[in-house]
Amino acid sequence: MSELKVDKISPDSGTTTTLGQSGDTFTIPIGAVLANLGTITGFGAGLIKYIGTSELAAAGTTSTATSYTSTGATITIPAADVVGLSKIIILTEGTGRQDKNGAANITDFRTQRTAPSAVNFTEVTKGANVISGLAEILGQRGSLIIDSSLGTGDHTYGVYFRKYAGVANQVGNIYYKQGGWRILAIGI
Amino acid sequence: MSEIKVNKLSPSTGTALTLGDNGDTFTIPAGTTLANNGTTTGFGSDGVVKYFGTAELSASVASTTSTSYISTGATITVPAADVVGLSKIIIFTQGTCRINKNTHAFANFRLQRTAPSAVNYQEGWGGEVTPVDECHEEFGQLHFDTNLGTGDHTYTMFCRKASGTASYAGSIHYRDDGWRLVAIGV
Repeated sequence: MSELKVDKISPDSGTTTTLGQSGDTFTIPIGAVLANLGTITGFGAGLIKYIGTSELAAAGTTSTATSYTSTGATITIPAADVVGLSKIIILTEGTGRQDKNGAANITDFRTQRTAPSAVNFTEVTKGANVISGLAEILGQRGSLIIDSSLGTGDHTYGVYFRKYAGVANQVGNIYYKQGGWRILAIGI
Repeated sequence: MSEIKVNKLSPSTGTALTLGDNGDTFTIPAGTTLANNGTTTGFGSDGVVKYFGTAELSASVASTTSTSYISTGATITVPAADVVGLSKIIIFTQGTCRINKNTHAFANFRLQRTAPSAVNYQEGWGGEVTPVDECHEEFGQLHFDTNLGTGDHTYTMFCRKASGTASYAGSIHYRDDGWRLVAIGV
């Protein structure tokens, strides 16, 4: 076996050097490090760079808030993991119960980013205007949001709720943790 | 073009060997292999998702008046060989059901792990205390299995009358829109 010992390999002419030919194998030995400070192509790194999950246990807590209030369900993507991401996808899932107030039984739920800066994502409204009945509505809630305006530092997202449109007579009690919450964060 | 033929490249001094200068390109030709038995840095993540599987159950006529949990038939299995090396399996399900009125029109849907051991996840609720004859609910659930065992891991959606109470629903049509399940292993 022949061995070439040099400290640097450079193109003899132009700017291109080729390693061997089809069928050859170049091995990085155990304990050796191949450090890339330039640009590589064809190495097929994974598209998903981060996955995080969080859960909030079910509880029978109620609220009659007309302003957006935290359910307590949050997830944080650490600052170090945000570096290099172009987008964070947040999927939330839970069950809520809501009781009628007068002629309506309607709530708003939405995902909010609370750090590194505040962003309110589109709310999801559930329920109905009521003539009679509909004393209670139970149903699964969830939303899918895509945050493509990332900053620096920890990125924290939470699930918030309120009476529909912030109007007191739109719903009675909101059981905002009836089935708990589960949050999935995907960084790409 | 110049060419040198050797079997091994090593640093002549110290432990570092540098490839070229800023602007140079090193090409690995088609058909050659760069085998990494050491460590690479700066090559990007290998990807955090190690397994991805999907399953679908077609829409069909199926109903129950059961007060105990019964299978909807919507199931997904992560093969034993793919479970090795995973720390967590994320399951996402989506389907629709129609609930006929009894006194109420409420149903529970729940994801259960049926293998390699039984685990019941948080149940979901859907429906209304209502004078209407029926209501339609979507049941999309997200669960995280962090207690993995060995062998195939199978997850199935189950349903029942809410709280197991007979008067809480009439018939539950649990496959009206079929079911879709996604399993992600990390």
